[in-house]
Amino acid sequence: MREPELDAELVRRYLEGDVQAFGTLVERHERRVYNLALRMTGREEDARDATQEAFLSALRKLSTFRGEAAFTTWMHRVTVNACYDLLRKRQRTPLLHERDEDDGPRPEPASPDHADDVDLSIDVRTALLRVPIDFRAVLILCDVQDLSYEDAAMALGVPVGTVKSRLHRGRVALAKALGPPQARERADADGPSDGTVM
Amino acid sequence: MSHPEDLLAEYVDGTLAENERAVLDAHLAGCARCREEVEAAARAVSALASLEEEPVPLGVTGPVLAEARRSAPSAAPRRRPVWERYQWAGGLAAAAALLLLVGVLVPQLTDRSADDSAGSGTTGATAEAGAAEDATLGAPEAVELEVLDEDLDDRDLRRIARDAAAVAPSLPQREVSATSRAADPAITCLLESGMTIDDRDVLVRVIEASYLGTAAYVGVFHEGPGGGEPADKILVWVVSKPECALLTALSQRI
Repeated sequence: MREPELDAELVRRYLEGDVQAFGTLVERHERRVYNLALRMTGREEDARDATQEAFLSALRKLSTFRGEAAFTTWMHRVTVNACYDLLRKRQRTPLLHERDEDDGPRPEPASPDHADDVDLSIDVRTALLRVPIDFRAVLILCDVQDLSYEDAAMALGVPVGTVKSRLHRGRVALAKALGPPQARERADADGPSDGTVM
Repeated sequence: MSHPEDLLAEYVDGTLAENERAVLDAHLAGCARCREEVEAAARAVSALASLEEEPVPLGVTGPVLAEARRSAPSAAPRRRPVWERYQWAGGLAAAAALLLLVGVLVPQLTDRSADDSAGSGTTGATAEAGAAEDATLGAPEAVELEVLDEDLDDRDLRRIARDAAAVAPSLPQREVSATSRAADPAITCLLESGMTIDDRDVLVRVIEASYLGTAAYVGVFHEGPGGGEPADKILVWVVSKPECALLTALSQRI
């Protein structure tokens, strides 16, 4: 596991002129940032843009990072804001995973031998986009990226109580979007989260 | 009691304190609506746990790293607005995703890239041996390292891509080897940056120059759809020298 101090150390080194230190930060956090953006926006193209914007924004604000929060939490906040900005700018409902033909072969799913899971997760992705964005953000942070209520609250800039109530209402909204329980029984039997810890 | 919405998330997560849980259990026993919500929420949690983490497409953070180099606190003053470059580079990220391929580039480098080259059995092979194996694909062509005493920007990269598109081969794949020793470190650096190449790609130029103030190697490739079809894209891949970090990438249709 990463020691949070180490991220703060990398920030300090970058601010002292060590360019590679920022590269290391990007390398560490890009998976989380990209996946958060992907679930928030629902489109690969938007997730790319939001990921770039989040890191560029982090770069610009790096001197304001004081290390009270873990860099991960701070980066979540920057990413969520980048997603909000992007979705606001686009003023449209995010669409599910549009892929250009030019994108080439799709990377293999993490567990290619579970074809059923893949089908299921497409449903979940679609359903997630039907959940209002404030609730979706909490669902992704807490239930996909496994943040604590407190860290999610910090990432979103809202009280912990708000996180808990949005989390519940978001879950109910997602279940509704997923459809009736009998159609979702496989989901209940479904396997583990594929640890989003980097 | 009214519906305890603020406790239901924690109830589902199993993080409620025992006394709160007891109170909520009592409420649930008499409240069908909350029972349904708890069941629904539990289904949602399972569904979300099934979401797989997806890999970051190549090239997404390249422009960020280039900007980090350019705007590093001790670096030279910025030459032009970040947005000009960023917006352009953002559109190219898709192109970089093309490079999620596994393969072999230059025979004499296969020993270095053996870990990445699923299809290669030629670990440690010489250039001659590699070329002989691929004799059906045509004679090897040399790629010489071009040293440009220029600082390239994105406009220059697009020009390089256009130039390469103008001379794109109409024939299917050629096998290209770097016969110039000087090109070796550059190609090695391109590979170390995470680029993987398969037999759809043909290296046509290797350039040493600088990119937005950072010393860089530029690889220019023709890429085809595979299956012996002619190349239909140009890829330009820029890595820092000597760190071999991806700075940017672009693709252009022929």
